[in-house]
Amino acid sequence: MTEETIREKLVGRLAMLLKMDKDTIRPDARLEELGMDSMRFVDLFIFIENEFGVELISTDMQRADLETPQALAASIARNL
Amino acid sequence: MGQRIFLSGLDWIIHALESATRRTCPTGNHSQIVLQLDGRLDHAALAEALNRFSSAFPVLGGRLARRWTLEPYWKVPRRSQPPTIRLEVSDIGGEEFWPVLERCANAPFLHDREYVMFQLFQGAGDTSFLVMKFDHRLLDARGAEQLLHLFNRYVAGEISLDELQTSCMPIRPSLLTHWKERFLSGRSLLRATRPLADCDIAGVVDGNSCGGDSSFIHLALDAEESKRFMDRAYREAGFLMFLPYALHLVTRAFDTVCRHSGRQGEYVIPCTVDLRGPDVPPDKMFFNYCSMLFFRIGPDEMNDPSSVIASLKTQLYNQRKEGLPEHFENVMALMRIMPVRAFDWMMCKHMRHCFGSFSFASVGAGFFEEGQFMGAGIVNIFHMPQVPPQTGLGFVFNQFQGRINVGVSFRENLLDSDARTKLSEQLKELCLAGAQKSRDA
Repeated sequence: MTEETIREKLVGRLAMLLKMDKDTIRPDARLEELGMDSMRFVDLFIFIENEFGVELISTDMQRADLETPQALAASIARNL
Repeated sequence: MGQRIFLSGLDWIIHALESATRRTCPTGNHSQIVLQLDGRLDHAALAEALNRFSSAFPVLGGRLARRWTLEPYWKVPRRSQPPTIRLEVSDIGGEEFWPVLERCANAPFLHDREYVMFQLFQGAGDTSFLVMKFDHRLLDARGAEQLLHLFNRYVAGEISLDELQTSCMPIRPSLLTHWKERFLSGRSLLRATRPLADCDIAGVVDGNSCGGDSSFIHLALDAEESKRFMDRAYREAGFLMFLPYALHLVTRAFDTVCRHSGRQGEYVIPCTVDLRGPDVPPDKMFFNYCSMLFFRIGPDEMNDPSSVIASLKTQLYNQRKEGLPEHFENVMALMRIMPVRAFDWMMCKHMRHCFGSFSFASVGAGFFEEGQFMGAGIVNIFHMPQVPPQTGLGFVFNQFQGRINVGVSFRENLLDSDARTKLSEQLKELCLAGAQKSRDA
């Protein structure tokens, strides 16, 4: 799976979780500024686990790896 | 025949809580949002604007009713007289604001069909406080903030009454469908909550002595303190893990009170979560759109703050994976067919009169980023909810322009002055600095 495909799927899921139009979510948008909170971030983790088989909880990701859909997609791609 | 708006399962819990709260305290289950302003308001203009504004919301004149199929609904009357929102104005001169705000929080509505009212307190200088008191049967905390925000936009000429009328009317299906799915949700919910019913809960509620007025503690962090708080939260609990971090802090503060008063047991925390997303669409402003998560911390775990955070994160993850808030919502949709009193009795029976050690809610960032209200600057916005008698104590976090407010609400008969002081001091210390100290340090 390419990083671009991962990013698209992530943006689609984010749009669903945040009840936004996915076209309004830029890949470099900061999740915090999009209104992401703890519960929805955990929901995103569960989606990533189910969709890509990557358990983020058990990786050594830093804040910079998680802050935007773009960074998150790159991190997932590295851990596939 | 007026309009019919079906109540959700959580609305029904709120009705049961209203009934339980009124047994111990005449004020009922309501809350208030406080706008701290740096100027005086023209109260005649405010009263007039409120009158016009309220006419867009016939739902404010409604009442509870039941369909022949037993589903409860909100009956919005079709009548020529539009509902009004009452405004009371008090000039309090040099009097301290906090006791005045507490008295206001404990004052009941004028009658059974009043659900929203405003109170304006003008001080000696340029400070004033505008309070919007609201009944939880009709609005939850974020819905109430949205209503206040829409009022501000209406006054500023950004939105018309027609727009409000068409966009804010809630449309809700009956929900008395998908029975099998809801029964399966019930099984999952029971499996998850049964251990909570069996555990020995450490709480402040003691038998029937859960009455009395509510008292409040308010801690307002400034911009720098809030930034440090968030940095610590992300460092110690992980990126975006505000909820587990804030929950661990208040649990530690509560633990201090319990140790002080010799209360022992496990900490069980019902936590309100909003299912709407970061925005509150106008048609989802009225009624309740929240669900519950339940957290449990053993007293021995309190010695190690990082293990408390880890445990809360794991519980959050597991409950989300199980879809617990959705199961809760599903089950409660069926429970609505029970009469409020029977439902109230069943909740008490299941949870042995104590629903938890304390309740917890995080309202999140508000809607008033513009910072102005009718020409006056908004200094701060915070919440003062009546706490349900089943827990007797609750914590609420909210943010205004990136600044964090921590509110504590408790029944005044349940905490002596020593315990209040300890709770307040400990909370302040933990929120401002000493997050990594162990409780015995």
